[in-house]
Amino acid sequence: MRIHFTLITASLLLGFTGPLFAQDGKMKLSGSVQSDWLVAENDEAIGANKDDYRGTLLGNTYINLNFDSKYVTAGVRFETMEKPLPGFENPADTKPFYGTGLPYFQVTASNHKWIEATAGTFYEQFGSGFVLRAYEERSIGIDNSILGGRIVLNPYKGLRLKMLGGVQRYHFSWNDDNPVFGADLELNLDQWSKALSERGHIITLGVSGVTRRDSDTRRDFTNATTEVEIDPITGVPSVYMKTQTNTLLMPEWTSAMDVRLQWQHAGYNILAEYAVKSHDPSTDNSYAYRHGSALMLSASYSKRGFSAIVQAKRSEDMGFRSDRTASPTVTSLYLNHHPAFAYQHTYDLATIYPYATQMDGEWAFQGEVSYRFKRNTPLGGKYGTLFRLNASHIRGLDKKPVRASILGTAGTKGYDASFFGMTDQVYYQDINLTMEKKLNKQWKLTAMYINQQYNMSVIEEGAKADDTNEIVKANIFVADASYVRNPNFAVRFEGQYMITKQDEGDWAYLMAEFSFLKDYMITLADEYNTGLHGGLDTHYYSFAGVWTYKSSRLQLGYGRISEGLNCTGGVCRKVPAQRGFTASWYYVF
Amino acid sequence: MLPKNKKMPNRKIFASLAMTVGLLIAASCDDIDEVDRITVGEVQKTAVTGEQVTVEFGDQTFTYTNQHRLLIEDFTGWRCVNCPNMAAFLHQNIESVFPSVVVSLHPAANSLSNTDAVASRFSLSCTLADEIANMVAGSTVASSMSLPAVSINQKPYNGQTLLSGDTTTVYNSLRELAMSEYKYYNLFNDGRLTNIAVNVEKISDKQYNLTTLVLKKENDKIANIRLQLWLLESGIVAYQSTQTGVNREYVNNHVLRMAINGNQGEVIKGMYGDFTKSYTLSLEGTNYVPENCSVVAFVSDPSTNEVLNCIEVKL
Repeated sequence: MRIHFTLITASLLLGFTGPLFAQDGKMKLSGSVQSDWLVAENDEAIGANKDDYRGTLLGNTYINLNFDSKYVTAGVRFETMEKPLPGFENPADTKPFYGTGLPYFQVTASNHKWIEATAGTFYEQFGSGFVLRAYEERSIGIDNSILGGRIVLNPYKGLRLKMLGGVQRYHFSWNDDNPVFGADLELNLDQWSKALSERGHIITLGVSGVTRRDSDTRRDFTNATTEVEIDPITGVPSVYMKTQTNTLLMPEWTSAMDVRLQWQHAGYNILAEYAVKSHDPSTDNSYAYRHGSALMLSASYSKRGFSAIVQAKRSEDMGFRSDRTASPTVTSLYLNHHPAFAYQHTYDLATIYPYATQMDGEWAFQGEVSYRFKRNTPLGGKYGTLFRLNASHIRGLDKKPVRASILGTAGTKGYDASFFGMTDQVYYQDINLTMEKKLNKQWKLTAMYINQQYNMSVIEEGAKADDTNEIVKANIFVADASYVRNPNFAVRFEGQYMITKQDEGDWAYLMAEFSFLKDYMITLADEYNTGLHGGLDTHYYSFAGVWTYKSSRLQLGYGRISEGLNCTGGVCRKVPAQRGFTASWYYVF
Repeated sequence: MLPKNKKMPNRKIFASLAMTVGLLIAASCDDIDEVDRITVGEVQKTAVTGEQVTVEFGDQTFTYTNQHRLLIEDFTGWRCVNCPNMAAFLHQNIESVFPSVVVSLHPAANSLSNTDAVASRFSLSCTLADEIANMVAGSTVASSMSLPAVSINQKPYNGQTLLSGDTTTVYNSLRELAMSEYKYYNLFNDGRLTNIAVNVEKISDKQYNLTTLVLKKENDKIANIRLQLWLLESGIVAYQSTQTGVNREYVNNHVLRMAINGNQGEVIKGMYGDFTKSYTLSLEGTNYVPENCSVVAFVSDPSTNEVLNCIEVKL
């Protein structure tokens, strides 16, 4: 606590007084406000019960202040969510999501030559984030920033070294007992070779290391069995409990390393990245002792009107968190990040079954081809036509359990898994085809077909893939038409339909969006569980009005939200069903 | 991204040092050999029930044994020749084997147990025993019942709550019922046990404060329970007919003397959580010997009269 106070004081003092000593005398104050509110109502038809929340009036508010000067920048964020919006609180959290405070405060000083130093809280990512990604994603309640210090050195041309240390944020407190240290070295080889740079080759080699101390190095597992013993003389039974407490000794330090090589030339981009993690027995892997690993290969090519990308990733036991004893559902404590190898949909029905990265291991493949037919061709028409085909396919690792210890999986390596072995059952598959076509100066049409397979037991419950899991198979059709008459009037319509015989059956979605007088927008939408194929015949209607004025945006709405997962980058938050009035204000200054 | 470096004092040393630190961090693994991962603990064997428990409740400390005890109500009489056999059976086969509390009841309405005619020599019978016999049997039986008659936990066995007679069948039935009740409550540590404790505080020679703590079974937060407290006296020497003649120095133990909180006890409803009840016991106007007296407290289900647990404490 004392350390926190010192860092806060130092950051604020430096942040607020630093700009005063700016050499060029320029000082800039900027910031933003985001405030989202819900007046919750009960709605038996969709299972919304405001008794499940902290009150009727719920809200999350964030206020950022940033100071910039030539050599010093500083930032502070005030957050208040005493009664958070539904779904942000996780029952498995050991520290509450709700609260009020200044969880973000930092000052960064740089001489713009060879050193940059940060004190306070900061975000950071090494490579693709396999070993470290501290980031903020408000929509899913993630802010795993690090409180401590960071130094970025640029001692040679084409060489950048980052070093950091600190403790991870856990809602309105920090994981004090489990500090994290890391270093990242990135070499831009092309800056050392004239031949490479002249030919337009960019080659980047990166090496990262992260280590975490965990104070929880001993864990007791008590095994209790009851036995009935019969008195040989009286015949009277008595019950006894036999207890045995076995202790698991766990490593105090867990480290992860990442190496990556990226080559870029013209439209080509190839990335190979490999990460490995030392023994990290935790709730994620049932306290198994095995080395985690992740390998990713990505190749892409793009030129005007055409792009293609193919990616493959194999990861195994790469969940790396600042508290090994936390429940696997607590996503706020991840130190690293594994992006979902699946298309991130924005159309409503396509987001009902999103993919959440399975940190215990997966094989994932993704590919995408995009081509724009040129103007004045049979398929391109007058304005050109874009087609995009994206496919992703994800399976689990084929794990063969090893012989159990006295504690079951704990203390063993958990399983054997061959490198190319995969589960018979699919975790997730998404194949989608998009067409974007401008019909004339006013009308634009987007059509999309999506085929999804979703292993609900694995993705939502962390279950193992086996034949008992039902796979949701969905076909989704989307039509999106927009009409822009002039800057003062535009309208957009969306029609979507999902066909599935599993889970909640078919869904339909209709939306109309009217923009007028530049600053106003009204949206009417209905997400409808049709009742076909086992659905509930329920309408999730919503209405919203938006007013934009300069850098302010105010949105007022009313409606229902269906229960489901809200995912960003493979990390998901469970959203309960809800109904009520909503208000949202966003302001940048 | 920082701008490209131009000058840096001792930068090679600094960068080399920093990179070394970084690599050291990255390489710092702390793996533990498989044989060192698990420390196997000793197996400890403890009785699920029967341990002494001390609990603070309000301003008092209660101590009790965490187990279910059988309430054995032995309806007996000084003129009943078979009754000593039953008393011996209960002592040897029930009381010595199962945790239990035995109460000897001498119904005043029954000719085999009424002691009015010998009141100048000894007194054993009371009308409270009649009331209890009628309640246990569910009809007016006190005057006509065959003695000995025994009830365990006031629970029916093959439809009979009072098992009468000095027969092998009755003895076997009592054994089976006792075993069944013992198993039901004591073999499973699954929260089905209601517990009870009594603190006795002497406030004068013949005045006592009695505080009873009732610890209800799990998931039974709202009380709907009957609490009864009886006064028993032991060491009473009286005549006793036996199959070999009259024993003029027969020692009667656990003899029911009086009810402390009403003949029907007190039905407690709507009390949330565990609770205590306090009563005052006065032996004024009686010739009961305080040193030989004890208090039996028991809780029962008001709808079935089934006894959930009981305890006996000395005055």
